[in-house]
Amino acid sequence: MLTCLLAGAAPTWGNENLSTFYGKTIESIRFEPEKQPLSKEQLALLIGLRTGDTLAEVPLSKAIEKLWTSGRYTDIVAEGEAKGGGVEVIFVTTAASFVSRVTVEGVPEPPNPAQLTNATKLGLGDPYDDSLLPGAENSLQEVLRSNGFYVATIRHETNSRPETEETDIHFYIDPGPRAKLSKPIFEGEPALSEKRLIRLTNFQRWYGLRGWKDMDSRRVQRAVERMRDAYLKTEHLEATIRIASVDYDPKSVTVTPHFLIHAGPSVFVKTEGAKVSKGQLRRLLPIYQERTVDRELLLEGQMNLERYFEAQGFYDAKVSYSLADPTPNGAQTIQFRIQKGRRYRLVHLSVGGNKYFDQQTIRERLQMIPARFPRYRRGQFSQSLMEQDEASILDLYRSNGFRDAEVKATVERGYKGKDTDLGVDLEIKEGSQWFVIDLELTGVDLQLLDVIRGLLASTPGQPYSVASVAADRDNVLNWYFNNGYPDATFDASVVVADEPNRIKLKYAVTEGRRNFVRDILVSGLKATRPDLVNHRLAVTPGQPLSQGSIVETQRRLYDLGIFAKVDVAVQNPDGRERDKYVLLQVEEAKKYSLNLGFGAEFGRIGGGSSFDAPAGASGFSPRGQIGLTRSNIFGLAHTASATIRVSSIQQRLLASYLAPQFLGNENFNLTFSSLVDRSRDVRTYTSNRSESSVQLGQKVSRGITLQYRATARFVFIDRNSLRIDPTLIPIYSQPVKTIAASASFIQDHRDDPLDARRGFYNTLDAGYAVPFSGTSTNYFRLVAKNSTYHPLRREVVFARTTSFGWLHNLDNEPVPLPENFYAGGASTHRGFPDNQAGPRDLITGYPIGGAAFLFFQHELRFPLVGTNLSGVLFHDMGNVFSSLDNISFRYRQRNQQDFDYTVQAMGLGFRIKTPVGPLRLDLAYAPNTPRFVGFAGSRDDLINGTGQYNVPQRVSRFQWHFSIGQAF
Amino acid sequence: MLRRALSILVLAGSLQAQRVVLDRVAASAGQQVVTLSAIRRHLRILALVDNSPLEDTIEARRKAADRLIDQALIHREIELSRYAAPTRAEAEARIQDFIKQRNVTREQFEALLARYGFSEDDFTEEVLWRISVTRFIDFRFSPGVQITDDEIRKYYTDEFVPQFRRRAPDAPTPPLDDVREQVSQVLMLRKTNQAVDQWLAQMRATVKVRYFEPVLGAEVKP
Repeated sequence: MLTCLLAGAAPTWGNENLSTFYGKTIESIRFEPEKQPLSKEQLALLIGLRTGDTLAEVPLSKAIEKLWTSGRYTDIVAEGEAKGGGVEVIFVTTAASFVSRVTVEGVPEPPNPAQLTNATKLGLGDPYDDSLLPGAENSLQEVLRSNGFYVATIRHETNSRPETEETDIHFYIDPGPRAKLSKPIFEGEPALSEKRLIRLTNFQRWYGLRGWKDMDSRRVQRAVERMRDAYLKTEHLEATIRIASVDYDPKSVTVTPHFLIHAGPSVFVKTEGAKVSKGQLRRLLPIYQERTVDRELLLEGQMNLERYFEAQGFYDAKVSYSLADPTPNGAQTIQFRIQKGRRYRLVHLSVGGNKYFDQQTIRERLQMIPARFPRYRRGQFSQSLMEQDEASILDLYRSNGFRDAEVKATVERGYKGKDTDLGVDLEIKEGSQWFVIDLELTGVDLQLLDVIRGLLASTPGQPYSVASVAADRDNVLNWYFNNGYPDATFDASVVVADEPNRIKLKYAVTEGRRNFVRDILVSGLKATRPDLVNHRLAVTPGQPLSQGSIVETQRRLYDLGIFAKVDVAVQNPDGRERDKYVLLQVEEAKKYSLNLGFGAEFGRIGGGSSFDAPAGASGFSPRGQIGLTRSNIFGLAHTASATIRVSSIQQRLLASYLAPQFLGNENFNLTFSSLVDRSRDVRTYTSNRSESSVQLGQKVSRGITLQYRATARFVFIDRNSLRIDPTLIPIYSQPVKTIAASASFIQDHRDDPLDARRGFYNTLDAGYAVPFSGTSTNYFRLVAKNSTYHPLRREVVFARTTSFGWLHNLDNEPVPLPENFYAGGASTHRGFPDNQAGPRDLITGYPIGGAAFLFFQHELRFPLVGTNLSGVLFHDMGNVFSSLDNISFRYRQRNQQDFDYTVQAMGLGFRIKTPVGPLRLDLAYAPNTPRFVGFAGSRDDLINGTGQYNVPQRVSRFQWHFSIGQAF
Repeated sequence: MLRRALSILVLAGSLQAQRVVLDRVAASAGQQVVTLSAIRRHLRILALVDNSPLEDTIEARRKAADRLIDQALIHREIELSRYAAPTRAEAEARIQDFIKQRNVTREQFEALLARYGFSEDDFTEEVLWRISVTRFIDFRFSPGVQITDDEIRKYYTDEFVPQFRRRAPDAPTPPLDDVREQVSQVLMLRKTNQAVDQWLAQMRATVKVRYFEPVLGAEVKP
């Protein structure tokens, strides 16, 4: 055969199949249809063929391949037609389409719409063709059946938009009736009674009195979980439960689940030598989580138990296990033998050999903690913690160029002769520091060279570390990904230089193709104005396609608070076309939301119902709240809400209208609010307040906010509620009409607003009550606060705050009661009950507020027991004063009419960490609380001049406050 | 008038007939595509390398399309994993082996290539590609293949001995220790192929594979 071929007898196979057009000159190239999904320039770039070229097989094949990789075509045929002396090449193409909006309608929950949409597996921006629909419908049917809809019919509609190559797919489902569950069948070896298992499934309504519940997949899954838990509780930890089948009966429209259960043998776990609770054993032994017993899991459990005891100070704890022979009924017992050994305290932890880093830098990375009262009575030590600390120190050194650094930990039992004391010495051998002597950067476009160099940390002269190189890699690749280079790669190689402790670095970048944004296609807007969304797009047509900008767009839209879902995807993600459509699909949230809330307030809020307790008394006030919110008004993301709050000391109706990101600027927001309030938060009177305000908020920077406010307020006091000298009532109980303009400056640089450990917080609020006709006040008001937080050592914080207020009356008439300053209580001065500081009525003893206040609060916050309970030692001083001039630091009260002195309070507080901030209990002792005279008798007695006057009173020296959040 | 109209129709028909399909998409796997000309080249190269007659039937095209899809998936993986590309010198060494194997002169070899529609560069590219694939399989799959003693023993008993006896009934069967290495290599190859097939099946499951009817017939299902 070979001879035959070589002799020329063999046919010329290849050439026979080739068209006669090959070898001819390409006279012209065109595309059919003329309108193509790619621009002419991009097409020319992709095909690589030009007029005048000689037509050849391989380049033409490559041209088809390149066109295909754009992802924009579902079929390409290259045809040839004689033209002049050469050939015209015609690419006949079929354009691709891509998934846009997918909706599924007509199914009552469960399943929820998102579950159904996900089931279709039609991803936003993915290539679409009709052949995907049967699969999508099958998946939908599967989800529907698992939720009891066995006779559902599905219809679909597609809506193509050829101009953007998008296809919307809508599934309309007629679900038919939802099947009900019927008595489940338990097969296998369930060990538990059928009655018990049925009870566990919770399939019955009212214990079977009202039949069976509806079928839904979550219910069946929950049934399996409940059964599993029940088996675990009965020590059948290897029990297996499987849904073998679900039988549907079309006549009765019911489904019968068949559960295949193998209870397996009972496995009893016992401990010897130490007591470990059942719950702790379940957490520590993986045989419970894995629901199986094997050697590896038992060994892991053994190790976990050792660690558990180690963490309690039993550093020599040894645990072993044994398996007893199964009993005749198969029950098995696993015995863990625990030898706790001595209980140690870590009393000494030293770090030595460090020169480059100071002690503090190293110690703040350590997890081992020497014993200290009260939180770490035995210290925090274990073998694994010690290893972690060694690794942390090593990381610190290596990331700073100390390639040869070594850390060795030595444990000394019986430290300083005491048997149960431990000492740990961490000895560091730093070795030499390695530096980068040369950095070669290749593959970067010349125009980008400066930008990329600016991102690098491992430049000549800098310490060398693997971590820095990794950081360089991340920075460079992030930059490329955020600037439209999806395929960018980064390779680093290291060469040890001839000079000692010097490294030469080589970074090779492959930039790859660059993608740009072709356009942004927004869908799903119903009520929302398109401009609102368009103004918040961080991606711009023509700009490089940036992942960062896409995420930023998503964040901005979620921040509007009107979208339940914002999906952003790139159309044709795998296609190697240059310009990409960015698809933005939103789902608007429900317009109305109703919220209900119940709670209670308790503290020193009582008193005031008679004249008996002018200094307040312990009280309890249940509270209820209902609110209705309408979002996305006018499609502008504005929100209106109305809230009614009712408690025994306050009734309030609040209506507000919020325009966030006002005028398209996300740094501004505008709020209109009105409220009608009847409250008794100041014990002296019940005020009826009507107030309307408009506020413009401006976020100047990350930590600075400005607020500009105009307020109109009308307050009148229920005369019958007043607890002051009747002769003063006409003065103080005048209805007050106030129109005020105010501005606030808020500077917040705290690390955690709920429980700050470091940073500072400043506020300054200045207001002016404008003397318009009809207004009854004219004053200037200033309130300032400065708080700072200083970490002293690990978990110990010193915090302090100073607050100052001044109300300068510009009118001849006294400032009416409600406009005065009231203070005292959990957040201002803990030596007083709420709003009980400052001047008082000289007859009844009730507080009447003041024109100035000055408070200093200091706190030492420290850990107590465990990680959740901490303590506070505090000192509060200050008072509300009758005027600015009367502010005094005097300790002693001159007489019972003197309230212009500084009240001191000190005390102890407890904080329990919760997700919403610390739960707070403060107990205060104030040695110089005000003494004053009060009145004993009824209101009529007071008016008629009967009753008992000059009853000596005093604000209790002991106060307690219970609330949420730190005091400041 | 009628004659004129007919002559225009005939002319139009003849012009239409001049427009021919030069090439087209024959099969695709996601972003990878196999063209009709690639299938034809593949069939020609098989005929050339295997020294067998060219078989350009629908069935052969289907098989070729499948092989090319597999190659495309491997190509994508090689690109992503950035395996080192073989050098032209390595390819030239293989070509020399091929020429020696065929017992032809360089000129005769070039003439042979030309008869199958290839230039020397085309053939070198093909050889480079084959080396890349072999290397990819060696790096990617061979290290993961483990051959146990039990497997060697089983192969020896169940396959080697019966085959040996069939081929040489009178010769004494070599003991296992003498052929252990040989058996191990056969099993290694078999397992590596299985691993490659398994991986390809997984890769195919991640992309949509389409076969185009005009090239590969209507009966083909992915």
